[in-house]
Amino acid sequence: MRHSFFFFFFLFSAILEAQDDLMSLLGKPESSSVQATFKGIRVINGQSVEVVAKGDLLFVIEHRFGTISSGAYELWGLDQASMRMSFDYGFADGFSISVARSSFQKTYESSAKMKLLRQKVSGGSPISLTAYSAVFLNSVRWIDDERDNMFRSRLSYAYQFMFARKFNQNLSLQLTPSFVHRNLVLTEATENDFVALGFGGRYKLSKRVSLNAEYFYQFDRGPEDFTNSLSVGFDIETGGHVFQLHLTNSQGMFERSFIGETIGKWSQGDIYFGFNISRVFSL
Amino acid sequence: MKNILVIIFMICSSSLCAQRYMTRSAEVYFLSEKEALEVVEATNNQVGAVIDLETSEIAFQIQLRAFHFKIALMEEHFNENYVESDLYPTATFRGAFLDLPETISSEIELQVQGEMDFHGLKQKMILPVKVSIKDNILKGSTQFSLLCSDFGIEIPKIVSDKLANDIKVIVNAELSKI
Repeated sequence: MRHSFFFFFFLFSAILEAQDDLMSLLGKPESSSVQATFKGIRVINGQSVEVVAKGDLLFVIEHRFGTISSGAYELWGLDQASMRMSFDYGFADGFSISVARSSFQKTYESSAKMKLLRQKVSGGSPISLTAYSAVFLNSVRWIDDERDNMFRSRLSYAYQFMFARKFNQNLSLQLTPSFVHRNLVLTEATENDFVALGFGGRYKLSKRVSLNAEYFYQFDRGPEDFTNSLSVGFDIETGGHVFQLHLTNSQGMFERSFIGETIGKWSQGDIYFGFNISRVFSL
Repeated sequence: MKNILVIIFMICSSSLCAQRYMTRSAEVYFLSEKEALEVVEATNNQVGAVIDLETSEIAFQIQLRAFHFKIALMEEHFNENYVESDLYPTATFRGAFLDLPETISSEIELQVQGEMDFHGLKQKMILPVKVSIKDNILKGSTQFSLLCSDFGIEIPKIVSDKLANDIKVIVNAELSKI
């Protein structure tokens, strides 16, 4: 009796085993990191959480034209242009170094960017976090040669953390606490440092086009009177190129300038048309 | 004592009769057969596969994010624009051998009939498979083509000179007995 009990028990368990789905033996696949929170390494002016892939060289050319309100004589700003070009190279997975040059104040720029956290598809980190640090060199000839002009007076710095979450295939949002330091400021009453908080996001309209927006709120700037930067634009992706077309009230294209030295006001038509074109080369 | 013997016998026999082989590191390679400057090809060697010789069933589970390309941007586009791996993270194939012999040792060619579930669409397929078994290792391989259009994957006109609708797939797997 006992034996037959065992016999049935094992027979039964063997049948059960054969009936379960083969697929379930494989278990659930591992959770991977979320990809492409943003199309480009910049939301519009400001950095996004994305970092150039290891071994890739990204070349970006950016233009900001004059204000649209300057009218037909200036061809709505197209006659004047400020430009910036940059090279970003991915030295490791999630780490890149960049060099750039802006025509505004003949500024040379060098920066490093590193991914600290990657959002996971399920479980794991709910956000991505990237750190960014940049140094800017104003290379305009000194206005007053008589003065004691020091090299360090040419330098300014920006530090940012980008916290972003890709909520779904279309919507990604980002918060960007930013700190900017200037070695030299205009007057003694002016603070050398200022702090700002950036808000950015993108919404994909189709597989290859997304609508982006970005705003930087500046905390107490003391005697300085600058506007907060607000930009809206489109990312259009075609193979290895990303075209970003946008309208912004900032003409500067590096952090110190667009976060802290924006003078244009949307309400007064000080809107600049601009574009970024990026091309990636796999080295 | 007798009881223990019975138990041991039952455990042994139940594991013997379950002729199952499994791996989590099968390899799937695909190539878009277009004469283009940049060849579109990728490899995934974290594919899960199970074969049950008793029931002749076969199951594959492919995580699309684990396809690696030589160019990072291609990989991003593959996931974002083509297979939409956020929406459909895995592709699966379930099927059965059509003419499985009692024993397999040296390599033989068999046919597997099954259903591919990929990009939210299911397609019935018959695949030619080469199988051999040695030292409790089952080696299997197959080569076939699939059409992007069968699985609702659109290729925009602008890249139609770089991407073929016809995708060549090569699968190699070494499964060990469980």
